[in-house]
Amino acid sequence: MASETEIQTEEKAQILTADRLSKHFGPVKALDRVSCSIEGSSIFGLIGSNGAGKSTFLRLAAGVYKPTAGRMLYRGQIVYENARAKQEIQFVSDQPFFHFDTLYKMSKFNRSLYLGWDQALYEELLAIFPLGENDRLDRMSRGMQRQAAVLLAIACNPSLLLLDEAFDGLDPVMRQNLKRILARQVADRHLTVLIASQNLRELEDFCDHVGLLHQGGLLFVEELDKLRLSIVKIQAAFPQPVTESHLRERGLDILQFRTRGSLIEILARSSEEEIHRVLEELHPLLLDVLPLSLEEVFIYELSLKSYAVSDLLA
Amino acid sequence: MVYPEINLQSGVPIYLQLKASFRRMAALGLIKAHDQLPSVRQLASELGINPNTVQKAYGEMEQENLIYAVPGKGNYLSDIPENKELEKEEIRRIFRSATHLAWLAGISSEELHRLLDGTIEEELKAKGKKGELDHGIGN
Amino acid sequence: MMTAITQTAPGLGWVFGKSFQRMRSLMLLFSFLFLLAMPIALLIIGRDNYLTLVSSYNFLEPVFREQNLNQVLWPLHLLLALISLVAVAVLASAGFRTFYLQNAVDRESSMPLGSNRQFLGRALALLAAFCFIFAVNAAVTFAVFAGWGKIAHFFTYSTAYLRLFAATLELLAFSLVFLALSGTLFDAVLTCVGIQFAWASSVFHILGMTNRLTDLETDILWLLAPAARLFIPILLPVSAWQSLVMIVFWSIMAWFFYKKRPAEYAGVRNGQLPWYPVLQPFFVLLGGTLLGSFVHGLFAGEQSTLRSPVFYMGLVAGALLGQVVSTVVSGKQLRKTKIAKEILPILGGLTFFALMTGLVCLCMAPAATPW
Repeated sequence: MASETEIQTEEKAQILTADRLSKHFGPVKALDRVSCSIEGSSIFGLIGSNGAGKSTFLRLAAGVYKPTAGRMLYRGQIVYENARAKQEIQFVSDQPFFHFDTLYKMSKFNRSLYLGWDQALYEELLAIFPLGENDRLDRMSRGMQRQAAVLLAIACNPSLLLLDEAFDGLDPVMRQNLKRILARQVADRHLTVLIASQNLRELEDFCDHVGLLHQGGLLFVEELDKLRLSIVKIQAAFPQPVTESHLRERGLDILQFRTRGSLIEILARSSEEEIHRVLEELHPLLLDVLPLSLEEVFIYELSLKSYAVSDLLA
Repeated sequence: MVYPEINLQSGVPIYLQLKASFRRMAALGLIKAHDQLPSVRQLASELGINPNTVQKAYGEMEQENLIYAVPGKGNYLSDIPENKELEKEEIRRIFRSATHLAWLAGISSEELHRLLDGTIEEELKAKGKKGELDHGIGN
Repeated sequence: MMTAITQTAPGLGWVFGKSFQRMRSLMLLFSFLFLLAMPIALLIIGRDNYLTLVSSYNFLEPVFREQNLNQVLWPLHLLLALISLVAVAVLASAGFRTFYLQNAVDRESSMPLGSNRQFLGRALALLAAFCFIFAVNAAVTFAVFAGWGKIAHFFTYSTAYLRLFAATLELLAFSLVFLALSGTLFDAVLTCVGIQFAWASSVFHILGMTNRLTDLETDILWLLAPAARLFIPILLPVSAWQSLVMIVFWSIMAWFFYKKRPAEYAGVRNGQLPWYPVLQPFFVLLGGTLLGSFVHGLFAGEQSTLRSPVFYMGLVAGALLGQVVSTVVSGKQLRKTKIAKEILPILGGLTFFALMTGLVCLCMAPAATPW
């Protein structure tokens, strides 16, 4: 029934689209009317505390759960019960399950199931990951099991890779290796990666878009760089006293104004150029424009929406 | 092929770091005009950063005429003296701050000049000790 | 990238193959047990002993004729029935093991296979396994009898054997329904056994109360207790076609429930699943009839059961008990459930009892009472 499962071309250009997606487990609303779009060849970070709905979202994208309301679309088609779509989607959950007990057997298993399996890529990854092909998977630590699962998933050459807490339990070397591999796949094979995590720091330098989930609702989706530059922290010292209203009059959107002795700390939602323009006129003795970490940006963005941040970022 | 350095912990957006790094490398002569820059794929997979980030950096650099693209081949460093203009702007800003600071402290302009020359000499000596080549800075 | 995938994509054959592969060693184990129980046992008994034992009682005796068994074969057949029962439980559980682990369900639901193929593949693998077990045993047993020159015995027995095979498949299909519905393997087995026991016991008691037990109406009695059908044919005649109809019926039900089963059921106790209160009336019925009959027998044994108030007191008490026990055992959280959800199954069970008793009285003539 084409009219029900396929939609306009513009939506097909998006790899993954959630359309007023809801998932209820009895009275619990894990996801509530979430709508968003993820473009191909991007690395998307889904952030939220425990129980925010991240894993539920990933499972809906993988076609494990059936939506209670709304739709989850892969390239414009409904994912649930769609074997063709699932050929191109790989889901690595936080507790991977293996049908067989060694990587070797699992590679054979995946090879028989997934048409996109790339044996050469598999062997290359095997050399990079610190895993032995005949090691017992059930004897490995959780982190190693996750690595094995990610390896098997990437070797299937998917278009969409869904990772639930992928970087947890990885040592820094392995983390960097994984990033390199994913970056290459994104550049070469137009892979789209969707990573769910509670750890902002991990995602901060890797994702190009982030979405924040809280209690089943999607608070916002934004390009990461835009988010980072949307708020600026300034440290300055002036020869004459400068007040907040001074700066506001000159057109700066001040979020926070603090003085520490002769040093002024400002948080502003204005561009760097504008800030420089305005502050230069006051002949600053010291002017430092500091970027905020993603966590700090979230804190301020959300405090503006009056969410208690301790609830969100565990 | 020279790869730029980025610091993941600094908090500065990576695409800005890339741009700054390329500018610095060009200023230092580590890459010369018409040299080929690493491809998006190479840079992303070598450093483990998002290819879209690299794409963004290259896109902006192209708009700012720092680099130019040859279809089917890649990105190349432009041959424009403007490269130094941005560095000079930055330097001018720092000088302005130093000047104001000096006036406030009652330091005369001559002393300020002496301070600058002294600093340059010190830095040159430090560089010489490391055995690096003189790239024409300070001459 | 979405090119002509459907032509070479793995499908039913793949699921069947993988499922069968996983069951293989268990299948061979039970096949071996079957062989031990019949042909090897026969060989151990030896031709001469066999003929001696059978000479005075053989297939011509009316006692054995309808059941197609003889003095030697019936205990061996009983053994086969027992092994079959265990085989169904073990093989079906093995085939659906991954259904009850959340991470396994995650994996399997995200695989590029529709639920139809996943169900059919697994079900067919189970079918194939049992076909193998029964066929191999039949072949070897045939060889033994052929070697002894008593092929006629084998052919007479084969009717009983086929009845056992049909009953096994019926039990298998019935079990699949509960495997598909349940959240944990333990609950699947528990509920499957529980329902069968509840049904058989309740019907037995109702038939007893209404004096309709002498001509055992086996078809109703074993409707929801297919496990019994593995053994009943040893003693009593049984309708041949019913098994086949029930196999189809249970298979379709199992398929339906498999398709509808959401991935989030994995690992959840049955008591917390939405369909559980629908099954609880069976346990209410069980508790009611058991306690009612017990109490009646204890205090007012001479009276007719249905006219004795003691029975009804026991019935109600037993109904309550049945509800409570089935709630607690199934992991339903008593604190969280609304009272209505607990009361309704009790009322449902009692209504069930009234309906069944009424239906039985209407549709069947009572046996002539000795007193």
